[in-house]
Amino acid sequence: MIVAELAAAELRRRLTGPGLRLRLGPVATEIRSPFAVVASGLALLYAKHEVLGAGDFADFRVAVEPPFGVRRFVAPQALFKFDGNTRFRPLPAAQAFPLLEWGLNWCITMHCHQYLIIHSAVLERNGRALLLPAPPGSGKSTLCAALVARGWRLLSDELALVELDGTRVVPIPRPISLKNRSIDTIARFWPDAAIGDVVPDTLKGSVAHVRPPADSVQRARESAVPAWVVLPRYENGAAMELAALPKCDAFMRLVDSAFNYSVHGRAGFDALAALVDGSDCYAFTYGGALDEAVAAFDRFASS
Amino acid sequence: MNELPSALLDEALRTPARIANDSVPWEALIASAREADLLATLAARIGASAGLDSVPRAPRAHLIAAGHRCRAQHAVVRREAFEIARVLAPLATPVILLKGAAYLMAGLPPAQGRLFSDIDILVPKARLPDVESALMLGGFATTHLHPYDQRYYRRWMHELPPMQHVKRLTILDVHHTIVPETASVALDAGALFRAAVPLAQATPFAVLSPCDMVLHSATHLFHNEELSHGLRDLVDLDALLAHFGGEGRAFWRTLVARAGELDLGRPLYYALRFTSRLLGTQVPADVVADVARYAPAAPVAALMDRLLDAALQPAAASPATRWARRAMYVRGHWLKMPVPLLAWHLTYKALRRGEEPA
Amino acid sequence: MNPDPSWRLVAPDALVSRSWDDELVLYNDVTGDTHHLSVLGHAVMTMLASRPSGIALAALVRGIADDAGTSADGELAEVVERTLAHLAELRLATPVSA
Repeated sequence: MIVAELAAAELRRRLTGPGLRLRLGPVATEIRSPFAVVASGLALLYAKHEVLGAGDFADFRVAVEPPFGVRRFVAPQALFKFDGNTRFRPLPAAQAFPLLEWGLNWCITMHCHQYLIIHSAVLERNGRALLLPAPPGSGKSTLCAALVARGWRLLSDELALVELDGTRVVPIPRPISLKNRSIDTIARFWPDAAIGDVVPDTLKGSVAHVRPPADSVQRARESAVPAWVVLPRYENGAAMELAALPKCDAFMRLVDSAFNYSVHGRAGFDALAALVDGSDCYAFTYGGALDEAVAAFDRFASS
Repeated sequence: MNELPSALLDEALRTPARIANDSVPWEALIASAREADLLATLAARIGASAGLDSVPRAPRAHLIAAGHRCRAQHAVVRREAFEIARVLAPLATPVILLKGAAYLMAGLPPAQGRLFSDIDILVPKARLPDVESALMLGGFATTHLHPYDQRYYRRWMHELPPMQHVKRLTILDVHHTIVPETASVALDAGALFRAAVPLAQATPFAVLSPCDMVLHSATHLFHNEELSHGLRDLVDLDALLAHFGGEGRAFWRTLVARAGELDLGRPLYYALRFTSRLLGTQVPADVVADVARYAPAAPVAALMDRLLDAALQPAAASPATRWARRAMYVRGHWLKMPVPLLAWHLTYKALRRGEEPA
Repeated sequence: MNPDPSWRLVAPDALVSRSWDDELVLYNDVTGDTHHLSVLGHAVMTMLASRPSGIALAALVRGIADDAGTSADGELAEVVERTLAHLAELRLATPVSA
């Protein structure tokens, strides 16, 4: 069963009662929340995700809930809870859905050390994975959404889960997070996209999420072989440029982008070395022309 | 398995081999081990008995992941220990590693799967100023900068304020005794140094003698005001007792005698009572009978049984546990400080909370 | 002071490395650090690795000049010395104590 097959009332019942259990690629999570924005966000953005039964193992049990006390009547707030304990500071209740997404990212990066986890978008063509590791502001998620809009399979827009031998990337398809101007950009570029509510004034500015295509969600068990590492850089109005990147530079950028490189010591070095060995590495500058950017990626994917 | 939230975890730690046969509620077990910071310990114990392959794939991933994290922490602690040794060696003063770092560097069983939050060392009180300045030259800075906290630590506690390395961010606690100066227990720290066992491969470090190590672990658990690591401390004690106790009768005789010498009979009583009660630690019957003389008066003993059983549960979310931890918080402080000083400290802490940004 | 000190690797067994385009990335298990070394850094590390007991600075400079097909002039010696100082800071290389 998938989320879209749950009636709205049943979804609310699970979220406010026993918990909604979802499969997110290699992990399963139980979610509870009384917030309507969380229910509507899940209904829209996780519509194609598999719903698990009460007896299925959940890796993480999380909740997004209002705090107790008088405060909730003054300015409603939302807390993220993991195993029953509050993590992070409360956020305004209107940000409950982004808080859930950030909280889930935290759960995965803090606990899934069976993988080397890189802060990177991951896409796939013909079994080969494209990694876009980049800091915020590089246009990584915009580029990721544009590639997905034109048929690349989404493995993740934030987290590359790399097997420790460095030869496979495991999909964890979840909503793509867009910020500020890129929300409109993608809405124009991809008119069919299912985009959730725009949540203003978060720590990251205005935020909205895009639903991953059904095909990406259904193929979450198909891992991919790393083939391209591309460091994107968005520069307003710049001419597009795809330049070869020395592998040592690509390697060090991946070290800097990995959440748990230090957890793996020598094995982490070996995994990244294998990944870089098997990949073509590029630095990609673009000025916002997404059609042109997608065409460039399509070219090297078919070469 | 009974109804206590941690009974599941206690049981799994006690008889990990049964994991392979029993129908285990894995989700609850993984969550409670994670909360108690014992996931890697559980992984090590299952790995050494039934084998991780006997665990279903989904929970096994958590055990493997915790094992990776644990190995990384051990590597960091080993590196840090050698850095600290390099900084302190010129002082030619004895330096005793305590708790986790001691188990790790001495290759003792509690190190298996143990996670760390900091490194603890013990130095003679007279050398504290030298040690502190050497560590500062070595890149460690004091973390508690509020002047009240500084005074509190230095005047009343048995340690310098925690120090943190400015680049590597590791946290180091420097102690000069194993119980606070204000505690009613009067302990001769010199006796600890005289009995300490040097670590040949890590000069200038030593570790406490086996009996003192057990007594310190007991003291730490039952004088500690924050019981969030209570079950982990108990697991340390269990592993130490199983290791040293298995070496023969002499250990147990010396342990009881040493507890008397150091005036630590009461913590030893609690340590033996609760490790055997919760983790099934084997303690010879005559030793149990012998330490009974250190038990508190009967009503207090019954109350402590109930408080500790609840406080040592990993599930902080259960109201009974929260209540019991609060009661233990007051008790932990009460053992350390004269009552008027305690009242003053708690009031000041409460006032300070108001100052801090929300 | 010794006018021609010898140098060696601090812990050769703790190093794993990978080279692409003559540059080097390496992991040092003693410190847990990962480094990216230039072509020259790579050359110096390779020379040091080939002489576990130590190699004198002058011989090191000559060896690198030979490999590169240039002459061992004062400028090269100065750059190699700077590189060694940098490697010492990273705790990869150390002067051999007399």
